[in-house]
Amino acid sequence: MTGALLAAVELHKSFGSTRALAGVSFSIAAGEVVAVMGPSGSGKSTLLHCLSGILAPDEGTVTYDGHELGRLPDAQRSLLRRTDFGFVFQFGQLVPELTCLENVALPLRLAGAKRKIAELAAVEWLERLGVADTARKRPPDTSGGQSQRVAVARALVTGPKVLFADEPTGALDSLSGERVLKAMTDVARASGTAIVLVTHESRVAAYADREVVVRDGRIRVSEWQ
Amino acid sequence: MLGIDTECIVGVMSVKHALLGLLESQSRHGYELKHSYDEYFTQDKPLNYGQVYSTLARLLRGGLVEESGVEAGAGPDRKRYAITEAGVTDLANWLTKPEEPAVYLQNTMYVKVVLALLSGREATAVLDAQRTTHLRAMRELTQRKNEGDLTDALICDHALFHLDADLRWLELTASRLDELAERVRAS
Amino acid sequence: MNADMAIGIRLAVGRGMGSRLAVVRFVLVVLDIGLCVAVLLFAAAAIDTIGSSSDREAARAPVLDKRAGVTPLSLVNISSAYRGSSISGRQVRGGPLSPVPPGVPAIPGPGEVFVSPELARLLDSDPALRARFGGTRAGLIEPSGLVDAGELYFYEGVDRLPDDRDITTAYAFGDERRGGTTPAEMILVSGVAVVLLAPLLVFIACVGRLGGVERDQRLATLRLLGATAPQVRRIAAAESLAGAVAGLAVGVAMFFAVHRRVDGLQVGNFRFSAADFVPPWWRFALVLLIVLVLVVGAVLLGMRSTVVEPLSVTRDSGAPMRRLRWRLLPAASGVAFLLPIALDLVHENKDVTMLVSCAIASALVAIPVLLPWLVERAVAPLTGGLPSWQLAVRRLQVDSGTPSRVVGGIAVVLAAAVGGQTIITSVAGLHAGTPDLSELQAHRLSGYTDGLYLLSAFTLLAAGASLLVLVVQQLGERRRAVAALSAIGVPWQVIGRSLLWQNLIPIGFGVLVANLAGAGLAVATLHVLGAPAVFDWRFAGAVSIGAVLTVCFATVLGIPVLRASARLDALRSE
Repeated sequence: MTGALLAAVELHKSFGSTRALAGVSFSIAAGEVVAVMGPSGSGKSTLLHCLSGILAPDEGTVTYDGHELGRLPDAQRSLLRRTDFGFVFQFGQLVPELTCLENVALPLRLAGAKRKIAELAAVEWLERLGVADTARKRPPDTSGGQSQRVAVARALVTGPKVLFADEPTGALDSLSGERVLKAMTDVARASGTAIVLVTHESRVAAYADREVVVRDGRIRVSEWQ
Repeated sequence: MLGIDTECIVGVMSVKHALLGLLESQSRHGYELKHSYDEYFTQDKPLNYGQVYSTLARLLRGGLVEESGVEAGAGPDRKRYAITEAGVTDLANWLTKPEEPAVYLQNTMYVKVVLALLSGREATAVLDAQRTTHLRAMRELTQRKNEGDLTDALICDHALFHLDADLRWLELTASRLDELAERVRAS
Repeated sequence: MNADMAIGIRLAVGRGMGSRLAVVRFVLVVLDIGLCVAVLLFAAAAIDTIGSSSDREAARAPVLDKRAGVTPLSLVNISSAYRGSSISGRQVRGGPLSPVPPGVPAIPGPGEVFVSPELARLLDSDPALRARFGGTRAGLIEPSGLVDAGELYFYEGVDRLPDDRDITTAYAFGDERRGGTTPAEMILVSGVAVVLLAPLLVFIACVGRLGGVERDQRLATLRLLGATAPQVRRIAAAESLAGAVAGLAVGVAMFFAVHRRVDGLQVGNFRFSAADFVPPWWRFALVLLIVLVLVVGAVLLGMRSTVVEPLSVTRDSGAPMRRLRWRLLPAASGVAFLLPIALDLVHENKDVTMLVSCAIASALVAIPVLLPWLVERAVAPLTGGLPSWQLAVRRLQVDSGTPSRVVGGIAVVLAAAVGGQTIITSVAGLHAGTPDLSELQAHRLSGYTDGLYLLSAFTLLAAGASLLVLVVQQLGERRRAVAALSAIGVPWQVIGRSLLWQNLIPIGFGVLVANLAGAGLAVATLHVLGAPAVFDWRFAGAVSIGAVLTVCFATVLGIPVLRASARLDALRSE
C-alpha cells in the first residue's frame, strides 16, 4: 500500500497451540486513526504488539517508515518506542512510585533530556489533556479517567508518529471513557499522530476514521473511507 | 451525506406534550413556540408551521390551551397561546407516566440473516455489510457529538447507544452463525 | 547514563515516599540489610580475633627441644578459679640466658610478678585476691602475650618451683605443634566462617532483589517507553543500590553502636574487647563492597531469568517449572571436592583443609539452591484440606520461590550449626582421649562452641528479620488478592494461617534437609579427620525448633500488615 506509515503483511503468530494471528495484513497512513475491533481472544491485541515491535511475528513482516521491524536490533526498536511510538493500555502502565508529572516526563528523560526541560514539557501535556492538577499526585491517588489521560499525555509527550492504544477506556465508565477518547483523538489529530486503537466496543471504534475487524486471527472487514 | 433520521427525536405523539410543556412557563406566540421547539428538540429539519398550528388547533379543541390575546401588527398570526388548568394536569400526567420500553421482537436484520442461511447465501456478508453501515453512522454521530454542545451530545448519545445495541447483536449473531445455520437447516 | 542512575534512585526513593505500607517495607529492607552488614562486620573482626588469639597462644607455647647455648626457663602452669572465671599463669625460674616469654620485658625475678591488665584491675579492687598474690608487681603483660584482652594471666618469679607439679623446661617460645592452630581447627574456623557468611549473603541477595513482580512490571513499563535493555539494567542497579547503600549506612552505624557496648562483655569463656573487634580497614571495605556487589548482582541475575520485555506490562505468564539439572551442581561439586581425599590422592594437610572447606561451602550452597525445587515438587500433588491450607498449597504451587529462598537461608544456618556442633563435639571428644591436650586447646574448643551458638543465634535473628521483610513484601505484592479474599468474606485469620502454612511447609522441608545435610557434612568432614562422629541430637532439635519458631514469629509480626492489606480499600485503583 502506498503512503502507508506502518504496514503489516501476512502476519502469523501462535502462542503454543493457540493461534492468535492467521495471516493478517494491515496498514495505517500518517495521521490516520484506525480502530482494530473484534471479540476478546480474536487476536487484536497480538496484532497491536506485532505492529509495535513488542512481539515478533512467526511469519510475515511489519514495516515502519521503510524499516522492517524484525530486522532492527533491540536497541533500534527501543529507540523507535522512545521516539516514534507511544502506548496507552487499559490500566497499570503508569509507574506508581513516580508522580504523574514525573511519569509524563519519563520518556523524555530516558531519551536523555534534562529534568527541568522534560518536566516543563510534561506540564504542558498534562494541561493539554486537562489533568494539570494531577501533576504532584501519584497515579494511585488519581481517578481512573485521570490516570488514563496522564497515560495519554505520557504517550504523546515525545511527539510520536504512531500511538498504540489497547482498550484505553476498558476500565472506565462511559463518561470518563468518552472524555479520554476525545482528548486522545483531538490531541493526536492536532499533532498528526496516527492511532492504532484496539477495542471491542463500537462506541470507542466510532472515534476512528475507519476500522478493521479481526475475527479468529483474520481481518474480516476492512472499511475504507 | 449518509442519512439517519435524527431530526425526529420527539415522536409525533408527543409534539402535543412538547408544546404544552413550552407553554407552561409562559404564554407564547405560535412562531415563538416553533423556535423554542426547534432550539430544544430538533437537529436537522425544523418543525414546520403547519404542524405547529394543527397541533395547537387540536389542543384548543381539547381545552388544554386557550388564546390569551391577539396583538396588532403585521404578520400572518399574532395570537398568543396559554396553557389551561386541564393542560397542566395533562402535561403532569404525561411526564410522570413512564414510556413503555420499546421491545423489538421482530426485526429486519434477523429476517435477512435467516433468509440468507435458508437460501444458502453467505450470511456473514449480510452481517458485515450491516455492521459497516452501522459503524459509519456511529462515526458520523460521534463526530457531530464532539463538535456540538451538550444538547447535541445527549441526543447523539441516545442514538449511539441504540446503534451500539444493534452492533452487539450483530457481533453476537456473527459468532453464533454456525449454530443458527444448523437450526435453520434442520427445521 | 547519569540520567538512568537518577531515575533508578528516584524510583527507590519514590517507593519510600509512597503508601505507608511501602514506607514500612523500605525501612524493613534497610534495617535488614543493616543487620546483616553489622553481623558480617563483627564476623570479619571475629575471624581476626580467633586467628590472632591462636597465634598469640602459639607464641607463648614453650619449645621443649634442647637448644645449644640456652639456659632453659623452668616453669609450672598454675590455674585457679576466681568467681566463676579462671586465673591462670606461670611460675618461672631462669637465668640471664633463659628465653623470655612474649609480652613481658624480662623474666621476673623472685618475688616479682607481671600481670595482665585485667588481672591488675581485679587485684586493685579485691584485697583478698591481692593477699593470694604476694609478689611485687613488676609491670603489666602486653597484649602480644595474652590470648585476649580480658585474660586473667600472670608470670610470677620464684626461687623454687613446687615439687608436686610437672615442671616444663622451655628452651624457646613459639611452638607451632603444641600451641598453633591444628588442621582440624583450621577446618573448623574456615568452616564456621563460611557457614556464618553464606546465609547472610543469601538473605542480602533475597532482600536486595525484593519486589520482583512489582519491579519487573515497572521495568517492563520503562522498556515499553523505549528504554534499552542496558538502560533498564542500569536503572534497576541504581534502584537496588539506593536500598543497599542505606542498609550499609545503617549496618555500619549498628556496628559502631554495638561495638562500644560489647567491651568487656562475657559470653561463656569468651570475653569481648572493643579493641579486638575492629577489622582492618580493607576488610571493612571488602565487606561493604561484597554487599553492594551482591545486591546489584542479585538484582541483575534475577532480571536475566525474568526477561524484562515490554509485553509483561499487559500479560504475565506463569513461571516454568524449576529444572533440577543445574541445581544439582553445587551438591555434585561438594562430592567432587571430597573425592580426591576419599581416593587417598591428597596427603598434604593444607590441601585437605582446602578441599574440605570447599566441600562444606558447596554443600551449604546446595541447600538453598535445591530447596525451591524440592518444595515445588513436594507441594505439586497436594490438594484439599482446610481453606487456609488449600490457599497456602495453591499459592506455593503457583510460586514457591519467595518463601523457599529465605527458608533456604535459614536451612543453611541450621545445617551449618548442626554440622559445626557435631564436628566440635566429636573433635573435642577426640582430644579428650589425648593426654597431652593443653588446657588452652580445650579452652579454645569450648570457645568455638560458644561462638557457634552465638553466631547461629545472630544469623537466625537476621533470618527472622529477612523473612519478616519478605512476608511484608509478599503481602504488598498480593494486596489486591488479599483484599479480594477478604471482600468475599474470608476472615483475616484464615488468610493469616494460610500465610503461616506458606512459610511452615518450606521450613519443614528446610529443617529436614538441613539436619540431613548438617549430619552428612559432619560425617564427611570427620571421616577425613579420622574421627568418629558424635551427634548431639539435643542441639540439632533445639536449633531446628528455633528455626521453626523464627518463621512463626516473623509471620506473626507480619499480621498487622496483613490486616491493613485486608482492608477493602486496597481493591480500589492500582
